[in-house]
Amino acid sequence: MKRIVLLLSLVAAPAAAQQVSIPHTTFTLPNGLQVIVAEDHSTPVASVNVWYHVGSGYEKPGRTGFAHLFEHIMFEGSKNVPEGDFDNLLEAAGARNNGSTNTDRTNYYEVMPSNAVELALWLEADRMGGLLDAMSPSKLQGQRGVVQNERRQSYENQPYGMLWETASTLLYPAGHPYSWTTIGSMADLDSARVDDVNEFFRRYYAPNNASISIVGDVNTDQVRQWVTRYFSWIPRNADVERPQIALPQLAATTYTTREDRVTLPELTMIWRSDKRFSGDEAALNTLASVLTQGKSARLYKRLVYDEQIAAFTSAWNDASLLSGDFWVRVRARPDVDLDRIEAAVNEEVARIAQTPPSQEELDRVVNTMVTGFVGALETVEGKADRLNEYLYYAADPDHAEEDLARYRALTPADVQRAAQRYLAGRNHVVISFVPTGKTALAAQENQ
Amino acid sequence: MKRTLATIAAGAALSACAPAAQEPETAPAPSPAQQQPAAPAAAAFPTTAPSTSAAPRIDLPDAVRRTLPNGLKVVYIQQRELPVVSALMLTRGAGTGDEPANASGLASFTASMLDEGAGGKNSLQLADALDLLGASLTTSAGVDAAQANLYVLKQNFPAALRLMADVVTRPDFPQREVDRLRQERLTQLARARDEATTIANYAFSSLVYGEQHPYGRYPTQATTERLNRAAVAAFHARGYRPENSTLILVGDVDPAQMEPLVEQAFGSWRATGTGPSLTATPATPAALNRTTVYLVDKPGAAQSEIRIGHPGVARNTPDYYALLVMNTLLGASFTSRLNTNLRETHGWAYGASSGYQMLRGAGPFTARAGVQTNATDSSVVEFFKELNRIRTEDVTEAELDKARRYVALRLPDQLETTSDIAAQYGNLETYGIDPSFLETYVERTMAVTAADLRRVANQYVRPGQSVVVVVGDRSKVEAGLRAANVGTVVVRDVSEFVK
Repeated sequence: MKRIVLLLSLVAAPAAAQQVSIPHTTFTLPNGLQVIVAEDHSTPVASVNVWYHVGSGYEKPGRTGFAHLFEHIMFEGSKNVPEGDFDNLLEAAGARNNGSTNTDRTNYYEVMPSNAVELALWLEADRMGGLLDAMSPSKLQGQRGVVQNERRQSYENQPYGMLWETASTLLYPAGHPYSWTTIGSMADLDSARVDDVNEFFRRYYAPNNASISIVGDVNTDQVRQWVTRYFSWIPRNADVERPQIALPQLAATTYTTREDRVTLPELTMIWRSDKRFSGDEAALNTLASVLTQGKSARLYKRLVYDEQIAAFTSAWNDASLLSGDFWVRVRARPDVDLDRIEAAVNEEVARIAQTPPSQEELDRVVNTMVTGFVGALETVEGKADRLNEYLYYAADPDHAEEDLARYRALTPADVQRAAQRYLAGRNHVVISFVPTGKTALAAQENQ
Repeated sequence: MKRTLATIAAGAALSACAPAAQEPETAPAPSPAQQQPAAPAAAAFPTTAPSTSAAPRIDLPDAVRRTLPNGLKVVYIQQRELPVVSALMLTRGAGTGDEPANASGLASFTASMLDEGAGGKNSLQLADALDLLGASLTTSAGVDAAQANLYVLKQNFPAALRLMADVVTRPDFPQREVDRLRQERLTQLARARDEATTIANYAFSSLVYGEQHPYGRYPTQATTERLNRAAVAAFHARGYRPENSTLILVGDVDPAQMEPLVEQAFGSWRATGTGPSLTATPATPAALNRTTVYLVDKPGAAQSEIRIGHPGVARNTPDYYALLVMNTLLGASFTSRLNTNLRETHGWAYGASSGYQMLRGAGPFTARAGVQTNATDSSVVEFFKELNRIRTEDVTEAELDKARRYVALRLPDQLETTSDIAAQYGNLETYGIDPSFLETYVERTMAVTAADLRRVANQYVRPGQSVVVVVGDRSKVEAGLRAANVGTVVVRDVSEFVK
């Protein structure tokens, strides 16, 4: 069924020796819309995936949450599509659709039986070219309420849900576009106006600030005809400058405590790392896995398995357009002092900085990663999103092989160097979430 | 995200699906909104949506079925586009529905213990061996079956399959790991009371079925503390049996190549003693004669978690297709009535949904949402409006057609990955559904009429005999709930449900 495929070698070979590519065709319309088409006839499904190269990192202070609120409004009808019909038409065709927003980009996608691709393209074009023809204050008002409930559901009413907002403000200086979350603040959502919607759309939602990938059981020539017909009339806009913001190093290691209605104390430590597809990203991602992925991963084994003072451990490197953050998050067992967790994390980081991980540790992580990489490409949705991601972050949709090659080339010394360069002894942010009234459990400075 | 719709699994998978399903010749005509007059001029942007051409058909290769001498059924489904394999070992009789009444949590605990030491490797050695192969192996217990799921590149499948066989058939259940996992479970339970959704789910199932019923009981501190090695070993010996199990292999799996591997891995699996009954179905509780609202106080909650429902229907119901379409229209798609009402019209919720959990017996029908605190009572009232309306008002042809097509035409999407296919076949196996079901799925879905829909709505949606659970800030929502008058309001405590 789905299958992308790729020239994975069929002979028994280490996972690291496999080649992966996503055969595709690219072209650009005169108005600047970049188009990627990848045929995959293994299952009669297809995905249309539009990336607008704008996310919450393009918002202004006082207008936070706007890119995401705007994402919601994009489903509420456009010039030739009455309110509700975007979803009605797609559901009647057997399609599902959704969108997502992060700091750097907003995506919109449909997954459907392959006979509905033309319909999806028409719908995407109508809102790219005609959203404001159907804009109204009531649409904004309605989606504002929905988004505020999304925020309540995913943040306020979620144990530890305020971690993300706390972290953003501590990691980035006030005014930096990553210093707020994509969901935005309740106050800013309340103050959003229709004029803001219109201005945001005019500035960012233009064909020359977007790319579209169409993947699945389609004919490339046919898709080219449809895309040309439906999108060519939409005028290009002034080019958007990508923000280039010099980011000072963290001036000190800071400790922050939040009380929450939770039973288990939780510690989060975050270091500044490196940008997406930058030189050290693969080593940082691998370092995160060496610490917490799998039962023998260093932090998991120590805190969850051996000492049994933690409920879970996780680590990840969140790399974006402007910067990266390296996260370690440990949820402790009841009444465990977070100083003890913090000391263990620091010890394990120092240990890797002093002595590289073993080759077997590295192989476990990389081999698991390769399987996951292939698995993510089993769906047309995953493949379409990957093509847009490579185009946006690496300026090359055909980046799968290079992406994997970074991991194949890693040595234990690279992982050690990443720990030295970004973590060991570097300033970072320490956030303790503790049960209400139990602030004594929080990690403290100068313990 | 634009939305999150909590999907309630109908017998685990969304809807069972069909390989080789074809669009009927009656290929759904474009709905009126999609009809397009004449071909527009080449350059002009058309003001009406393009019509869709005939839906594609799916051609899945035939499943090759074998049975080992020990009774293990094996299903091979070849998908050669990628060198990967999804393997699903499904074991009926080892699910939560098969637990002794006083041992809630035992089935899932046993499943979790499988890979904590097996076939001569300890917990860490097993995990390292799988990681080195780049394989993912997970074990879990559903209501009606336990599962082991393996995903691995084909070149590493033989080695990974041997580890999977050790885990399923030769687990050691080391005492140290039993003690460790029990402690982890107790920690999870301690945390469960932090989460409004978990409290709501526990409260709802126990109030609908009662705490003695397999669908109404859940792990507590007491049942968790009772978990021990002997109980785990006994549950494994009784439930994990080759004759109750099916191994489904999907991917680059040529049966001629794979059969020797499978026989080597699983041929020596033998069960002793007697196994569980696979035919007994839990009784359906008597219908309530009124509706009661249970308010569970969660001071300071930013939203109220709402659950409304009652016992539903078993998976083998002849009304399966009509229910699928009816529930899609009511609460299982983005444009469903519940989501449109609570989210799009009123903006009170991020999403609202409904679903039937179809099991060997009658699992629950549940309508659900998390709503802003000051709209708790209004939301409950709107839920009841929709639950009543679907019983009393005929649906429009356009609404019916959209729901039918949405259910039928998503079939290819539900069979996209090797894991999707394994899950669909697993679902059929669990509920003993004839594979011919798959071939007629689209046709039978498209044949559901407005009359069918109204009939099943009347039979299987019973707003007047419902349990309503609201987990929220009592000081802010109680008065409104009482005034809304949808049923007697009873205040209960979190500790009665998460205990």
